[in-house]
Amino acid sequence: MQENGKEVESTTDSGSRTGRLGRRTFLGTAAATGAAALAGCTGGSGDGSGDGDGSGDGGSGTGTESSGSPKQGGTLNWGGAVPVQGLDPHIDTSAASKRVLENIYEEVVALQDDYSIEPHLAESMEQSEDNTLLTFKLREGVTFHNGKEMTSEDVLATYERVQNGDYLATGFFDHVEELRAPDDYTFEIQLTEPFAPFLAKMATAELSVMPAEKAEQDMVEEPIGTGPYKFESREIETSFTMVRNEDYWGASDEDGPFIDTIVKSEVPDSSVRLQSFQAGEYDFINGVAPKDASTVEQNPDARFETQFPKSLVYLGLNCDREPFDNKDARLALDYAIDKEKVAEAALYGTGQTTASPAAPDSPWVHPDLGPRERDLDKVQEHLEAAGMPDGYSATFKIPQSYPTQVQAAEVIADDAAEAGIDLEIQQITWNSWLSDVFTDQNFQATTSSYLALWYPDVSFYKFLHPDGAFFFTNWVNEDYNELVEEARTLYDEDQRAELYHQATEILHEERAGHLFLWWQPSLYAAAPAYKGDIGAPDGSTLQFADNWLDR
Amino acid sequence: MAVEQHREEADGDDGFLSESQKERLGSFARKFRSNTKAMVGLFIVVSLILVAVFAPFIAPYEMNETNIEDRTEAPSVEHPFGTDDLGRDIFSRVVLGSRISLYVGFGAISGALLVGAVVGVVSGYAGGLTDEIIMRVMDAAMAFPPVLLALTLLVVLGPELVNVVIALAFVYTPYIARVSRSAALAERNEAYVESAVARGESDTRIVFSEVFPNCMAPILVQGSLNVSFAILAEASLSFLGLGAQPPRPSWGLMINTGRGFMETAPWMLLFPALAIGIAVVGFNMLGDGLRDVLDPKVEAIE
Repeated sequence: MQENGKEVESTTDSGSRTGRLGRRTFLGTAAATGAAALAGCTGGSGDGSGDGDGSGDGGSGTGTESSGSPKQGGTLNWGGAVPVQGLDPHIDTSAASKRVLENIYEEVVALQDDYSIEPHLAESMEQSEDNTLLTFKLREGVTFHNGKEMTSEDVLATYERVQNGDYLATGFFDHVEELRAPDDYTFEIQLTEPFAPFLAKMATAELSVMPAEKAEQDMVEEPIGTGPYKFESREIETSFTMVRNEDYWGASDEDGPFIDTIVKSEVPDSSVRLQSFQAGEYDFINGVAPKDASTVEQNPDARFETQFPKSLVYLGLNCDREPFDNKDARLALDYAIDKEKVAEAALYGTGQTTASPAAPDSPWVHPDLGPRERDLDKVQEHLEAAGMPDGYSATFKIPQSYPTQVQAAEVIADDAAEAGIDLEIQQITWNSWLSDVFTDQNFQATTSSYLALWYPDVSFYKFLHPDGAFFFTNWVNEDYNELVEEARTLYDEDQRAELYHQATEILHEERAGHLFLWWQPSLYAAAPAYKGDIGAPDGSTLQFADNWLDR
Repeated sequence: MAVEQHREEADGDDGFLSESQKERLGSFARKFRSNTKAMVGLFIVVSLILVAVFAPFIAPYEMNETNIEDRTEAPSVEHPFGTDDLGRDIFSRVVLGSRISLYVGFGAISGALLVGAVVGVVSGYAGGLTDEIIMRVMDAAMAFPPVLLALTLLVVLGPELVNVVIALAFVYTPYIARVSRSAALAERNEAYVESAVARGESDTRIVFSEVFPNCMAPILVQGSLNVSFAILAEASLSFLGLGAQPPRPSWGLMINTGRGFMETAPWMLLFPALAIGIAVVGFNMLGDGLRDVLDPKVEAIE
């Protein structure tokens, strides 16, 4: 978990600050080895053309401190990939909203680059011996964007809103006995039993602190937080503007915030976005398509940045429906797919295959378990065991707004067809994915992805436990459920890791409804004048506070 | 149909046609041959059909076989049109894609002809309230832009190729019906219809054996023009993700994927686009040529 949970690589000059230098250099090396391993797997044909990701240059961005100290001011023109959705952090699930809200709201505790959790709006925190009482000493002098000072009353109101409403984190409050605010700067959480994921949940936007009067509303339309940037204006599906918070409690000459105004223009088409960036219209774009990664990398007038891992893409199999209610049918498909080839086809060497839902290189990853190798004899064996010796057919619903998943689906269907399994691709919109596949579970096979898997409870519980908020492939296994439930009560890393390793083995052996395809990075392109580390510790959002413009 | 008649004429005297019919066919063939537009159109359409029929023999590679190591390769001797983002041979895919375009083009327009021509001729011959009701319904259907209407239908029916055929047949039916009606309207007052009525023939017989054959010319012209529109519409629908589904080699779908590679691999976009262009121009020229040849006014000027 400590090592390279997140890596920020850089190929041209990036103004990384000295504080992170050591880790970045180390990560660069780690990334290089990772890339080498990947190239080794895909280079079966011997032409070795798969090394275009160039992540071996990870360390090169570290020597540019001489380019000067951060400058204040300016307007950052950001060409954004997915339009900002809702502005209520407790209910909105979209990463696009989180990318802006991350700068407007803050939490009591915050995730660090090494995936550890430190007090943030709190000065200090304490856990009782039995891990059931969490006590936070809040910072004094923190003000909301409306000028009011933040006190324990606001924090309490925020948490009570989630506890008593129907929000993303509401389920977590089943483990909470009492919330208390004994004085203006103390906040206490009494848990009913040890519950390790609670602290991690507190570091997410699902528990962003808002003023008490906002917390009383069912839905937040205009976000008011304590963060380094203030919400200015928004035109739905067109643009979103934030301005620097002059009174930010954490403001400093080293950590910012520096940039005066951040304007996000919504440019959903990746080709249009890249072309506009190359024409100088934007200082920064997120969501560079993997196929364009090498183009940006070779452009001397652009910074190419990656943040790994961002998300896990999987093949979802509905275990309530034929043919995938049959374990052997699932295994047959697993053996039919060449995962390295699929990942290479979609990601052009920027991704990594996996057999575990836990973030790569975290202690929760099973050390000896890899994805199944393609094996057509095994496919036949399992097809026969499933009572379908001639193979089977299934529809394969793919969200068309994710071109990488469409590309992957074509390769998967080609591999499967060769093995006698007929997957009929059907492109659907993201909305029908949400209603048809996710909510109604009207599907046989699909693809989708997870974000924010830096803490293991999300990876193992949220998607794969029947009580998890995002459970939809209907794979149920009692042994697995017991393991991940027990893991939630443990605080010792080794003990927890052991349980997660066992759980991963069950996922693998039973071929759970999630067949993991790859981990992929966030890919960014920025103008050379745009300085500072791009991204945020969770791998998918953005923190602009320590970024600045050199012009 | 026109093609068939043309061939029969070339076969010479088979005793099947009356002298006057032979004469008319002969004059049609003469005019058709001397019309460059019609001949070029015919040539393109016949070539397309031949390519579609013999596609599996022409295509050098398996159309859906992915080969990641050879992705986005520029056109070469090995891959005359280059390879796409998954290493598939674009030439093979364009060649096999002709089947999808022709299947949708002919399929949809045959359906539209079948329904539209009958409805139109009956409506035109009957006149009065029947005509009024049928034509207002057709006008209502024509008020929607064709691709938009097809799009809506496909959302309901589901994105499958056979549904594209059904949706486009539905969309183009009113266009055919309208032309058929005006043709029938003109024929209705001709002397031969009056004499048929005088002979006491039934309405059904008059419509289908007397009026209908005389309305064929404008219907055929409209039909062949609409084939080109249907081909274009299929490409648009597939481009939008509602037509043919991957990995089918629909030209529209190939253009959609190719769009993302415009700078790095322009051939992914170029060849399917050219194929659509050629097919559309071919059917358009054939339709235009047929109109020139069949239009009595043009004859009068001659």
